[in-house]
Amino acid sequence: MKIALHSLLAVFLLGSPVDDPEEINFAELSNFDYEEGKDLPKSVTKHHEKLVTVGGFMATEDGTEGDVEYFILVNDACGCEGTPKLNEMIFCAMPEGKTVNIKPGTASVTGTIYVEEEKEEGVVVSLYTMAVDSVK
Amino acid sequence: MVRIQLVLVVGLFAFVAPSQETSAKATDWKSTVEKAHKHRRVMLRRAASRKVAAAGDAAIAVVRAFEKKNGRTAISLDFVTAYGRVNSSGPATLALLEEWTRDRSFYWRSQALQALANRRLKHYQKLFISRLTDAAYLTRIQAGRGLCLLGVERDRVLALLKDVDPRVRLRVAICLIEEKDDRGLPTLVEALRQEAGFLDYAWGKVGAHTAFKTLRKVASETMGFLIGEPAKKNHEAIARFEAFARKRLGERWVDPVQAFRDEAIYRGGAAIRSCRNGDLFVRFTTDRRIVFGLEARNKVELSDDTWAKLWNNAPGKGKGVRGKVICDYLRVMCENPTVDEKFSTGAMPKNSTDWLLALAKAIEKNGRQDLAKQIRSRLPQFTVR
Repeated sequence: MKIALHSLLAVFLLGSPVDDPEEINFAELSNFDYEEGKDLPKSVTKHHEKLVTVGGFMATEDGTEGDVEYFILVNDACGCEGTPKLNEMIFCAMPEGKTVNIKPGTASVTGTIYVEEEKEEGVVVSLYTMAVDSVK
Repeated sequence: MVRIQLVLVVGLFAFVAPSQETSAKATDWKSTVEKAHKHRRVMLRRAASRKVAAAGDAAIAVVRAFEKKNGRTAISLDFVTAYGRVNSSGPATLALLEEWTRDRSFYWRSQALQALANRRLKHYQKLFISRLTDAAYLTRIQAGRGLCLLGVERDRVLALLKDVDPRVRLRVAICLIEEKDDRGLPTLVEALRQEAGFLDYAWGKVGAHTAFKTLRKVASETMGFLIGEPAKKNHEAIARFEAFARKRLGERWVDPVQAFRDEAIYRGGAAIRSCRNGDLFVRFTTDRRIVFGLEARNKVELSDDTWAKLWNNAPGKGKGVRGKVICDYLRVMCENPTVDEKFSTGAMPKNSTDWLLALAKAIEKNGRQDLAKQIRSRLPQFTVR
């Protein structure tokens, strides 16, 4: 729900003049041991609500294929070495009415990132969400 | 006084009542196992998986029923991984984990081995030893970890620091460090210098970051290491980590396998990632060289003629994902013509299969039947049926 609101906000802001996105990476986003309820480090909260570009591999939460509205960006093409940790995943939402095809290789995703614990049913379901502007 | 006692009794009753209610909810294992596999949110699937795993034997019958109904391939990675994060060690749980580990067709057998390794049970020592030479690097890692955590067969564990796969060397070194055996330090320091990748799979940089996180804990400082920066820029920080490690180890320092340095420019390649059968990495340069492995341990140079014939057909058609990838996949990539296709088991079309067979034939003509066989033997899993 929250991510959908973020998407709407991003669509609303699309018409506004924006700065160039800052390039960030998973090494930076995952460079801490996440503990639920504990303050997130400034090294990641400084990106909250900022326009960023991140490179990674696309996957879907539920194994959906083809054109998707929501996807996860992860650090590694094969998550078998250990399922990605919460700070190794960005939960992405395409702008309202737009979809994207899951790419087999690296994707460069630009959008507004939100850095905060998001809960559903009392469980933290995401730390990083992104209202996507573009996928290359 | 009576009033106080009454309040205490009511309080006690109120305390017990919700607990019984919670307990009744928690025993609905069928819906929890379903949720662990079918909920749309990955973290909620994980939470449910952890709950089932923590319940141990109490939920195993339901897990087996789910498996019987949906097939073993329906058991998810997150679900098996959850057993590695809890300590439930009842006989039914251990039996299922062992069964998963011994099933070579099961995608997540290395994660099941990880769960057994984390339980530190001497009973599995022989099992760990038998998996030290497994084709799948993840299984070798967990076999090494199993022995490392048991504190036995240390020579066999140390031998994995020379494994052909740099990812095995790294993970085993980390386990040694976590078990207070400093002999993993040289491998970790060397991993900081690792920058190589396989096309867009940045295994070297990911490994360097992982090594850094462990070294930072051991040394209690960052030594000025800059994450994500090239090894050249981190030269001084790496030297400081090395000095720290050498001082701590003294005469016990053993030179690690050197970080792989690669100046070659690659035009494309094929990668097979398989939790069941092991990975295969093949790529080709712009000047007709075919290179095998993450660290390019085997190379074959094709003649102009053979090379030209190979390109009579393209290795794929455009970009895309074919089939539903659960774990194992084959990916072909090429700059010119532009190809980036990922195939799940049984989804690779004839044109890509033919191109890979032609590649194997070309390699065989160069006298490397062994390398050609590596390609050929892996194709039937992916070819369209």
